[in-house]
Formats: sequence, structure tokens, C-alpha cells
Amino acid sequence: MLLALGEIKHNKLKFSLIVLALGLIVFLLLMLSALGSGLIVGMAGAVQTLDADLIVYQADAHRSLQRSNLPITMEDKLRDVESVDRAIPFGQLIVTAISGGKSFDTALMLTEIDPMINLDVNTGGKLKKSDADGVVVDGSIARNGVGVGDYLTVDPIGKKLKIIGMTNGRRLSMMPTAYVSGDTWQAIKIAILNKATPGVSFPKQRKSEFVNAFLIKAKPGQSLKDLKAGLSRAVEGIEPMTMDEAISSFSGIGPMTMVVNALKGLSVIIGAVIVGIFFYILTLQKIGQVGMVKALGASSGYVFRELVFQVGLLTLIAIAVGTALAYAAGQMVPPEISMSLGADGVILSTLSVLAMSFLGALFSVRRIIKIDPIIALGRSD
Amino acid sequence: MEHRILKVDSVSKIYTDSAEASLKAIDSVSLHLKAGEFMAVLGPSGSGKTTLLAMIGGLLKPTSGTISVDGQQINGISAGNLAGYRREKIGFVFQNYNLIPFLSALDNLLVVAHINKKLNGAAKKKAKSLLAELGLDKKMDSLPSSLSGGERQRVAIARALMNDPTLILVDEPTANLDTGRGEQVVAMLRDQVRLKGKAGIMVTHDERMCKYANRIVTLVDGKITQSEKV
Repeated sequence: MLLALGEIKHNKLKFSLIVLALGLIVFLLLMLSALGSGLIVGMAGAVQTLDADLIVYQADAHRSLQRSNLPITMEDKLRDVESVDRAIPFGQLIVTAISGGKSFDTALMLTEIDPMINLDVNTGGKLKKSDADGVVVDGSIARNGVGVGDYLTVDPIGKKLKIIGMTNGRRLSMMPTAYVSGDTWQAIKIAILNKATPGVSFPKQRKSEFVNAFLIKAKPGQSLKDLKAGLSRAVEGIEPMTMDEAISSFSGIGPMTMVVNALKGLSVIIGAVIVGIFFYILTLQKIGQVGMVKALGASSGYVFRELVFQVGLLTLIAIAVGTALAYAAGQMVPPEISMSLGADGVILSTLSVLAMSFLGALFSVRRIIKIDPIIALGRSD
Repeated sequence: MEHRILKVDSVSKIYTDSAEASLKAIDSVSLHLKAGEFMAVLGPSGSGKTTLLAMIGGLLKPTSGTISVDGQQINGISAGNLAGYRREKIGFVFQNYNLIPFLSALDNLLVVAHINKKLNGAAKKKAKSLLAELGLDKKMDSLPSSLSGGERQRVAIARALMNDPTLILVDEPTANLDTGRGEQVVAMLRDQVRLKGKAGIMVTHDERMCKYANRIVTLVDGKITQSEKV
């Protein structure tokens, strides 16, 4: 690849600017992908990260986790259904938490100690069933100046919870989440209800309590379609859903995903055109040189291979630059902006840009083939 | 009978424009060349010199007649095979040197080996030796922009010899050089042709360069008007 590398080495400024321009396209695609994923994580991260096969809502809750209310006694009925391996209660409670003089909304999550909850802790310790006053919080709560070892006070009941660990990517409706044990969650819920309705005392026996939903793990080899039908037949008044169905039914997620995908699609198309034009201009600038090497006996294939190598190399450097810029930007965006730059987003954007570049190079093939080596003799006919 | 490297037999080239008007650039030209011979093709501008050179070099197809190089007839072969013919049989020296501006003198020679898929240690050794032979041993790493006109033309000559061609085609080698340097370059070309047993054709409008050729052919309006052995 003597010509391709020699040209880059000799025209460092020109090729650096091309790499920068391509890198910015990569950056744009990655940022759109990260912001799009970030929005979904912000809306439904706490559900997205669950390792369950199905989630069961109240039948007339219109697929809303918040509106769904199911008695905890249903747990045994669900477990008894053939093909169900495990069933655990799941719930959320929006509370106002106070810490360090600041108050902020938090989704308090009912946390059974089960692999379906899939609660990875990246700082501090894990939540145990016996942790009556412990809480694992989502990292987004850190913007309120809260960290491991600090206390959250649940308003207005004054319940103090010690932060024992931090997790990530588990927001709910753009709120940070706080995971507490099942007993603590129920106690807080009843205490808040009692406080909100003076004179009415809610029972404290667990068997009479309500949760929002149940998470279901199927026995190995079971089809989810059959499991859904089996659950609906066995237990009245429920709506079992796959996790994807549950996430897509979150209020606003559908239109949001469509807008983000439209933006991404548009960016890929505009990026492809820009990259195509870039490489076509590069080819036009080489007409004299191509004519000369053809006069020396180079085939169109030889010239095309050199061009593809150059395009590939420049694109790979641009991808590295764009990815580095996106990661740097990810560190700098304020925590209010939900952003999630995952490996899948990087791979998808990288492949799109590589495809765009090679497509751009393909535009030039016809031009390369048509270049007549006679121009080396200073003629155009 | 001596081996004829080039045989041009009744070759004509007619250009037709969009208005169907035709121009006979070469009119029934026949000539031949043996190994070690260096021919000068003289003629005024528009006489068809470059057209003849382009046809022999496989850059233009004749309208009629045949051209054979080293026993291989090149009429009617595909564009891909013509590229192969140029790669293996032809060494070009262009009027404007046509060196690749971003490659050193050495790499300009190595491009030929690269095109031929023979870029290896032996090719590097050969390129260095050719440059040294033409007095450019201290300029191997220089870019064309830092070389004088004469030096660039010598790099172009070395490049033309890089693929060990049968036939060297030279287009106006002195057009961008002063008389002294022009003569030096042409003498060098003739010596290389003789020394390496090649055949060479030099197109020029400069009659002073004819003293270095074994044969002189004069073209006027596409026809050979004079052919003499020196």
C-alpha cells in the first residue's frame, strides 16, 4: 500500500482534517446513540436490567407499573403454575428523599434477594434481606451530593436509610432509584399511607399487602407465549408481559424511541453522503496520478485497492477519534442528561461509518475505471 | 535475421469528433526497431508523434494496421491485457516527468515493482542500483519537489528501466530542460538502451537531439516523410 500510505504521510494536514471531519460524524452518531439509549435507561432502566422472563401486572392497569396493584398473596398462586420456576414480588414507590439538606424524588424499589433483580453493585456492599435500614442507590443520585455511607431520610415519615452501595443504569421515569428489602419497602409504604390518611390505620400484616407486579422466571425450555397463556388461565385479573413489552409500554418510550431512531437514521444517511462526497473528491484530486500509474501498467483493481486501503485506514482512525471524543463528552455531560454509551451502540455506529465509507469509495469506482491512462501523455482524448 | 523488438505495419489512426468530422492523425505508418536501437521521431506540433507513441505504448488503439512488440500483437487485446502489456514490456519516460510528488525518488521506482507485485528486497536493491547508475545515489530519499529538472528526468528514466522493459518510449524528454541538461539526459537514455539491449523511441521536436539516435524518422501530417539511419 505504497501509494496510499505515502500520500497520507506527505499530506498530514489534509488527511488530519479529513479524519477530524469523519471523526465528528462518528462522534455525532455515537452521541445520538448514547443519548437515545440514555433516555430509555432513564425512563425504564430499573425494569430493563431485570433478569426475568415475564412481568405480571394487574389486568386493568393499562400496562402501567405505577397503576398496577396486586395482592402479595398472589405470589403462591403464580408459583403453582406449571412451567413457572420462580415468582417474586416487584414494586416501586415514589418518595421524596432528603439528604444533606437537599430533597429529591426517588423511586423506592421493592427488592427481593433473587437473581431476577440482578442488582449489580459497583461501589459499596450488596443489599441483604436482613438490611432493614440499608439501601442501594442508583449512581444518578450522586448529583445530589450523596454517596456510600450517607443517609437518606424518607419524607414525611422520617425513616432513615443508610446508603450501603451504589448501582448504575437503573433509573425509573428519569428518577434515581433506591433499592430496599421487601419488608422495609412495605413498612415505608404503609407508614406513608398512614401519614397521608390520618385516622385510618393500614394493616401491617404482610399477607394483606399489595405490590405493583410480579417477576416470573420460566422453567428451562418453556415458551414464553405458552407461559403467558398458562398464567392468564390460572390466575384471574392479571396481564403477563414479556420484559420488552413492559418496557415499550412505559409512557412516552414508544414515540421517544421513534424520534431517536429517526434522528439516527437521518444522521447515517447524511453521514453516508458526506463521506461519499469526501472520498469522491479525494478520487478527483488523484486523476492525474491514477492516469500515470495506469500508464505504468496498474489495473483499475490496483488503484481501487489502494483507495479502499486508504479509506479503511482513515475511517478506522476517525472511529477511534470519534469514540474517544464521545467518551470524553460522556464524562463532561451534566448528570441531568441521561446518556448510555454501551458497546452495542459503539459497534453499531462503527459498522455504520465503515459501511458508509466503503459505500463512498464505491461511488469512485466508475470514475477510476474511466480514467484514461493517456492523460499521462498530457492528452485528454 | 536479427530479432525485431517492434514492428509497426501500415498503422493509421483516425479521430472522429461529435460532428462526425474525421482527422487522420497517423496515416499508414510502418517502421521497425531492433534490440539496441534508439530511434528519434521528429516532427512539428500536430504531426502525430505522440499519437504514434501512445499506440505503440498501448494507450491508444490504432484504427487500422498492426503493432507487434516482442512478437506479441497488441491490436484488439482488452484494456486489462493492455495494462499487463505496459507492465511487462514498456518503460515510459514522460514529458513532464510524471513522478508521484509525495514519494521519494526511491519509492517512485518501487511503485513499478509494487504494481507488478514484486516489491521485495531484490526490487529495492535494483532501484537503488539504477538510481546510483544515473548519479542519483545521494538523492534517493529526496522528494521530486526538491530535485532539479534534470534530476527528475533521470529518476523518470530509472523508473522506466525498473520493470526491465523490452521497449522504452520517451515523450519530449528535453521539453523542460536547458540544452546542456537535455543532451545529458538523451545521451544517458541512449546509453541505457544500448547497455541493456533494449529498443527505444524518443519523440522530440528538437533536432539537436537526433545525433544521439541510430535512426531518425520524420513525421509530417501523420505520414513518414523521411527515415534515415545514422
